[in-house]
Amino acid sequence: MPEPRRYTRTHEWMAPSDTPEQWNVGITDFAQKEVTDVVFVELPKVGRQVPRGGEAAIIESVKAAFSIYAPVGGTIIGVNQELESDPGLLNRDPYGKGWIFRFRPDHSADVQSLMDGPAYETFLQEGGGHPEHG
Amino acid sequence: MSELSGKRESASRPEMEPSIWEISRPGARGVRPVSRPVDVTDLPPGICRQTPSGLPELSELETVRHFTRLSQLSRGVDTHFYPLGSCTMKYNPKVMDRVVSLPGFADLHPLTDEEGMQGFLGALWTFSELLKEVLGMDAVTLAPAAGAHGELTGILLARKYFESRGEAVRTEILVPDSAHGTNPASAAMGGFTVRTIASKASGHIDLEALSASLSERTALVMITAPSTLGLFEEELSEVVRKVKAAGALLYMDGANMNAFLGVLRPGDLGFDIVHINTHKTLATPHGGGGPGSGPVGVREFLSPFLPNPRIVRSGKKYSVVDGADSIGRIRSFHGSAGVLLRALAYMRMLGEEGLKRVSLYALLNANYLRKKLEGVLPGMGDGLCTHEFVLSARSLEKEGVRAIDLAKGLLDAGYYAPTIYFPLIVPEALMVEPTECESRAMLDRFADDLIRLVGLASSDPARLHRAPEKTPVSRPDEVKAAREPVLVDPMAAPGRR
Amino acid sequence: MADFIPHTPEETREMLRFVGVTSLEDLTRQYPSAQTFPELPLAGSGMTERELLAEMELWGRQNSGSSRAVVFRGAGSYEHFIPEAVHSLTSRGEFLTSYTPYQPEASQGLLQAIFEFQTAISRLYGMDLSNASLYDGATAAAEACLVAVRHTGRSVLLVSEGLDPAVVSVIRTYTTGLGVSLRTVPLSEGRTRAEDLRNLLSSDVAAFIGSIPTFWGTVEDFSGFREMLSGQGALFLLHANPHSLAILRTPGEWGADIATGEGQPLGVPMSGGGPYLGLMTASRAFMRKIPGRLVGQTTDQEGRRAYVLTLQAREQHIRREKANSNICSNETLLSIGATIYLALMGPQGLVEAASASHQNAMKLKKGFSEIPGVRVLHEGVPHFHEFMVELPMDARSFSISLLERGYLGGLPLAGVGRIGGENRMLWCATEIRTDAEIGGVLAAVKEILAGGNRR
Repeated sequence: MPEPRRYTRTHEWMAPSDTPEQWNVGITDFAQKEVTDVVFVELPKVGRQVPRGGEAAIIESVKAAFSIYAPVGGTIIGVNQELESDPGLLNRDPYGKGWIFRFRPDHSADVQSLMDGPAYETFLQEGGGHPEHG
Repeated sequence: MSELSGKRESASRPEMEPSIWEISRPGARGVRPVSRPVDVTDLPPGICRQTPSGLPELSELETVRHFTRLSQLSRGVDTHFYPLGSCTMKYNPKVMDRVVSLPGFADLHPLTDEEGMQGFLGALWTFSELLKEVLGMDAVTLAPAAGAHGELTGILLARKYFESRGEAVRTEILVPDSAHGTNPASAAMGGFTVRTIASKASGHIDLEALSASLSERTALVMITAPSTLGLFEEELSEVVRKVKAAGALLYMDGANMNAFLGVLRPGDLGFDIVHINTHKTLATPHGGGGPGSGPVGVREFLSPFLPNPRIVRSGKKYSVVDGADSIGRIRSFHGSAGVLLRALAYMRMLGEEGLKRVSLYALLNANYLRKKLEGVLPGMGDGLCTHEFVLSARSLEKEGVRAIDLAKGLLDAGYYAPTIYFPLIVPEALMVEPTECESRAMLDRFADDLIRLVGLASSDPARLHRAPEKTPVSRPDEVKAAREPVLVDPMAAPGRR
Repeated sequence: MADFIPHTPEETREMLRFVGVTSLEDLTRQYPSAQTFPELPLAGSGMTERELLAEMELWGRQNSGSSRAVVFRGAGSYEHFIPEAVHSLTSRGEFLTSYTPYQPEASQGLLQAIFEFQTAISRLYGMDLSNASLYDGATAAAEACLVAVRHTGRSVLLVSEGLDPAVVSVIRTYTTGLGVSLRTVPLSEGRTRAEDLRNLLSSDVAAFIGSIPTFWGTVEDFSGFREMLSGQGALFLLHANPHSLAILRTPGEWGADIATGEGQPLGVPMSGGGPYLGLMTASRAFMRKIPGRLVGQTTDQEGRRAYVLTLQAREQHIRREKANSNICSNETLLSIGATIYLALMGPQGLVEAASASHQNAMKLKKGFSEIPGVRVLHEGVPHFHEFMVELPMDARSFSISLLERGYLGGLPLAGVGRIGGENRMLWCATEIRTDAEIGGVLAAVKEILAGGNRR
């Protein structure tokens, strides 16, 4: 889990993309294992503004649906369309090709309030809960 | 998942049936609907069908064989013990099949003038009266097509009631976390916000959590009684008191009414609205998923809002009327009469004593089977259960065995499976409902088989992972089905033939 | 008295002892004792099978509008030929007494039958896919409207005046709590004028829903509707009689996004109004948006073809308040019946039945047009198997006079929408009506008109 990736208590990650002020958001390896095989990803509309903790996307396994929350407040500026044809990317490469949407935070300082890698590790070891059903 | 992959030959599986389009033969005919076919020539071509319908083409015998074979690849109450919890898979008396095909019912047009359907209206009116009596309610609508439809009806009744009182601020519905998914889904469809009430570890409603959520915004509290854990709510009277004090209405999901029939009435318990699933409690067949029906009973103050149309009696005459304050129609016609008449006939046949015996024996069978399985898998509650009980297979997780593996093992042992993974608050849940119709011998055999399967979890878990081995197919690839959905037969693709 | 309980008295005693209670009544000690064992005087003392059948036969005999009447009434429920094999096969216990196929391995035949239903219905409607059924046609139309509202995020539904008023009523009930408003797109001489639709279209409109054929019997030309609606971001919904689609242009061919219908004409008896069969078909874009069960084809662990319930994450048991509908039980047995019906009829049989229905209705309509004082409405507009007439007298008493002569005539339309009226009736003839019956009812009509309002 290399820096400067940041993590939420609801198991989303957020990492800078190749463009400044634009971050990719996905779910953690722990989360994809909990979800089991992802069969569908409901991607958000580009341009939508989402408050911190607001539902931004939904991922589905065979027997469950999970909400993906915005780690901080911001605007959806892109989505990973490859997930439409290959939702299994989320399981195979959660931190890479399995990113879900691209995001511009309202205040970049907010990102610093999220957990860093070691903090998330500790959070998991302390039994950091399960992904929430949507 | 290594045990499951890899080719295994299994001699004991029955053969699957080809798709009906695979056995379709162009030009073959089944029945002929008219003796002298006519050509339609007077309709403008632009409004006529452009492409063939692509329906299958078979002889009548081929069709009969195809669907007979399909039936043989399925299990029902008529063929297997079907302990599917919360679904009350009891025997569906054969005489009811005759009842609904009697002249005057099956061939009755729903919009027949009242004068031409007095018997039909009278029968349905009589059924409402019987339901009012066993539910302890003042009025009943027979319109809802299923339990969930009844829930939506009840929720719309609550909305209309509060609107009529100028209390449109009541926008929330409270639902325990142990509830059927239909409860929150119905609430949302009715335009309400759902607030979930966490249950106590015992599975009972947490009165503190309830109090914390109740407010002047609460319209309705939906409670399944007995609960989905097969427990009678220990503090129900206190729940009722709190809900009424908050000015909200109390809804009873009557899916589990088989535990109360003739013995305890929702109205006497303090509920304002209740639905009953005739396909569960009143022995109408489940039909592979439906039709059901979900009549709703209400207290007098809610009766002006019941759906249209309604059947009323004045003197000896029955009429169909619309109420001005009604929530409106919830379906095209009166109700699922073909189901309701079966339920009426069942109640008439059983009478007062028979109805009571149904619930008493449902309680006996559930408690007997639960006791037989005591110590095998942990359950919920420590006193008596009601008509069903929930076990948790969590203790088998260390062997890598899950509830689903036991369910599949039960298929091989010659049963349908219990409900699994519900209620959501019990990990690895197996929900068992034997109903009053099963004999002690069957319950003994089932208990022995389940105990044997739990034993396999430590002695031969691979066997459970391979199960079922005697069914037409092994476990289907559900991930593939959901990732690349094939929802119509590729053999029937347009232009294929 | 019957109760279908298998226990012998000895078994009951032993089981009670094993459970550790003293009596059956003792099992209810968990219930509030003040309220247990209410008296149920209406419930009676029970009956034998013979007594039951005698009582039910008595109720049945009091329905003179049924088997003793020749039916010329439709308006949402139709008397068609139903091959005996439909009832015979759907009575098989494995279909009749099973439930939703949650355990696919033990329900392959049921799942395959539903899959074949989905396939047959989607082909009949000319659409990409179909669900496994909803309650009835009206609730299917209402659910389609809810899909449109959710999909577009808009709150206005344009509802054709051609839609069955009962269906509109159900749409209104279903949308009442959701802040949705319904606006009527009027018919003009039995058809929608494109400019009327255009005038009502706006960026608030979620969908337009039209009807094939209209409730009033006419068949519309929906050319250009798809383009007009999608240009405004609104969905195109069509509610179609599946029987008519044997010969009429399909929702798919008109470009509909979602198409619904009442499946009763496909082998389901009229049964006083239910249980019926709600049909919902859609283009693939709406695959994950539509409500109801879906069966998919997949493979088992060894590569055999297998069927499962799929895309379940849309449904209430998983998504709860976020589900796209609350539906759980549906009308599976009737959907299997419809599949058997369609297989027995085949493409040719269905065309023959629909064509004969149309021809019989047109014979009847011609007969009415020749009766002095009777006006046939919407003349010159294409019809399927229903049409409207206006009588020189009150249609309700006229209908009762017909019933006394053994005919369930057209539906009196007093208070039925703007197009209805006290003197108006909606008549129907299906393929099962004979020339003699058509001649007979026309003679009865003339007789009643000649005698005025004679009872």
